[in-house]
Amino acid sequence: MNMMETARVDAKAASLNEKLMTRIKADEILLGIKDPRSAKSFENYRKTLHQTWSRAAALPSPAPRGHFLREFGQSDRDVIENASDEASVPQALTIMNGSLLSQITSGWPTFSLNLRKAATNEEKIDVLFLSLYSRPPTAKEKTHVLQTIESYASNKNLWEDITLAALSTRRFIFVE
Amino acid sequence: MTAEQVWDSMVALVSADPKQLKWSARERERRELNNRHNLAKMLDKTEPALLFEASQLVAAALKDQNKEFDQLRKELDAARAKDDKEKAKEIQRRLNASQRILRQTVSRCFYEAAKKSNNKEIQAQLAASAGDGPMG
Repeated sequence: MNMMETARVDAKAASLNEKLMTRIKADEILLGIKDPRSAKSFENYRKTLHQTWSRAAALPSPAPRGHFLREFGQSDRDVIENASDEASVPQALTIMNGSLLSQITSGWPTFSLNLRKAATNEEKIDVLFLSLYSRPPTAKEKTHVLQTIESYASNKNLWEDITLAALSTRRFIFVE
Repeated sequence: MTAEQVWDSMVALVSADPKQLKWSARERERRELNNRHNLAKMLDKTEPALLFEASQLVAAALKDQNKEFDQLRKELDAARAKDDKEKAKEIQRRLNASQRILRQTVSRCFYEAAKKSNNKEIQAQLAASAGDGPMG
């Protein structure tokens, strides 16, 4: 054992506070996780989430090349006032093909759990709009999304696709 | 909206606790800083003659390293001029390795100096914080 090795931190081995553990257990019930192996897996997911999904202020600045933040115009800090708000093709490709977006629409993130908690499609649409746009849907928007849901009812990835579509809109990027 | 604002919006969609700090990285930094602080304290207490000896060893190693570094840079320029990508890659690898070796040499020289100290407090601290070897 040398000094550098002792500095390593294993987030999975860390104990969580009681409040977080209670929440994780509640989410396990919601997800229908029963076997200990899946429960452990979910617990580790929650424990290591902060390593990728921390707020920008808590991440190194500038973020590494290729990181979402850099693709969306974060300054490289080589010179002052170097951030950019120009749209670009790599941004569109990141939204369409990037692994980060699929992490939002996968089964375990908070947003997906909130969608699960909603019992009806109408409630799910409310969750979608409140989570992504911080406002409830208008009657016209709700009707439009409900029609889409009916048209693609057989699609197993229906909500993932709707979420991705909603995330790709200017409404999400420019909401103030 | 800035890149940071878009990112934070996405963090809120994924994390149950978006305000959670990147605590594991901070904890690692804290431990590393603590290790360096302990090392600096040990060096402060090590006999000056031993530190001088270690500094001389480091200076000699640095001199040799610089010679090797200059030679490798020349070889790298030559390989690039000939567009020999394989050789350039190999030289680049050796250049990177030489930096690591230099860091290890510095660490080893000062670790050995501290090991030679007659100060029992240093020996105890060294055993407690450095385990069985210098920093890698």
